[in-house]
Amino acid sequence: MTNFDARFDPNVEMTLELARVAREPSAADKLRVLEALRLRLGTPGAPGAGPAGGARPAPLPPAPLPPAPLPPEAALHTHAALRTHAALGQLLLVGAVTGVIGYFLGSSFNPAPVDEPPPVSVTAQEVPPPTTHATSSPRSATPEPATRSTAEPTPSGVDAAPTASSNPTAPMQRPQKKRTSAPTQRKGPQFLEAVRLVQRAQRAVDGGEPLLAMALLDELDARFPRELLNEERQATRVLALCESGQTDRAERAAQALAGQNPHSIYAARIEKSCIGWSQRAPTRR
Amino acid sequence: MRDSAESARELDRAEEGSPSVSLIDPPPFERLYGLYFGFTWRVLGHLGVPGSALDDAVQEVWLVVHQRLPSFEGRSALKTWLFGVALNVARNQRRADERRAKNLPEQPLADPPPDPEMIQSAREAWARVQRFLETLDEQRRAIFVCNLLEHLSATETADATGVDVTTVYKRVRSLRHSFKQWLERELADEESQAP
Repeated sequence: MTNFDARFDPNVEMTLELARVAREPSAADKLRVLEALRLRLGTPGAPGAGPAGGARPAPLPPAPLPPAPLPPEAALHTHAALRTHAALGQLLLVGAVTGVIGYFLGSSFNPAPVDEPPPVSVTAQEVPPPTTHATSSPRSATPEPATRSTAEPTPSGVDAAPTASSNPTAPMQRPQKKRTSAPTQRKGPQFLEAVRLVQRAQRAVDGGEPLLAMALLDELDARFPRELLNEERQATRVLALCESGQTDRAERAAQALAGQNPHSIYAARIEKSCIGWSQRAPTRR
Repeated sequence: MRDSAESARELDRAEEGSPSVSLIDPPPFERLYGLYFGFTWRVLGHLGVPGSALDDAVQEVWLVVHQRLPSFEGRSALKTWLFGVALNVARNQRRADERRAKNLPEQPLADPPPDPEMIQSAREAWARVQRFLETLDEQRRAIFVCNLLEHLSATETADATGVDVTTVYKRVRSLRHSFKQWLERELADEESQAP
């Protein structure tokens, strides 16, 4: 009985899913690593030696997700066009990803099937431990129906400007226990989906994709109640508007944010954006 | 030689985690990278590779993949194989860190601070899971990450971690129970500390 409770505890599942979301890399991370790999593998046009002792690895192709070729004379418009193209592509991707997430979250957070004993015992010697350098592929697995599909939420590889990683991977320090805004157990699958969308919007801003960010925020506004992650949504919109050159709208959005969250954690970031923060918030602090 | 559509279907099945996937023609590296970069990045982080070393570690994983892909026999799911590679890289990384810590005890690797704007709830959940993972030994940590975080099946988890599947079933049940209890204590602690 205890095992059953543990297996289906929504709080456990929500925490695990949120932790997984927090670990997702940004498109900038993906591109940065790919560039480094190209250098190390020695791709055409990027001088570099192949891996030491490498047998004969094929050169790395120039781009994982090549954008459609654009006329060279459209230098000024290239970025905008790419961004719009990327925005549409990413939006579709996000739609697909969130659809999949919604599908499995909507049911029952059914985890991978491990709580029931296996039908056939497999002895330890049948499964060798992984080798130090992964020189051999793992042994074949006995077919077992997977009850949960794990859609890989891969960010599009066409994000521009590799910014500093919005790196969710730095380990936390144990002693710094903070007050929690709301215990996780009070949140549901809808919240998790909104978190994913906001994070994608934030990463789109960081990756120089303000149009994509605003499209994601519009989707959020249309699908979720205003109260859900309102501060994050407002702040991300301010930054996206700034990035896209819509200073007047950014001003108004920042004003609204400052009115509702004078101590917003986004204040410092907005202060450095196209509009300031201090001139609209100090009297409310 | 099968056509690309068949390869794509197999890759898609592989992406869904089906353990029965058998790839006779390995998929091109760049497609694999596009699909599974996030997986390898997350796994390395959950296995304890610090943020400051994550770029290097994930590069190592993909260098191994690039080298070994032509000889990948396709007898197991791609994700299982990738997890095994990531597990080895994380293990080597940890050993290197331990050696470095012995030689330079006063100069630990600096880690960038966590992104302050990461959505609070995700950051809290991540920190909680991270703290719990730090209480586990290597084998249990790998099983937790593989099965409970990345949703590979018990058979795949056994394959990826080198633990027999019966033990995986036992470990996962026990880990889930321990995590639930640990989480309840954490949340109770945090609630009691809130003003």
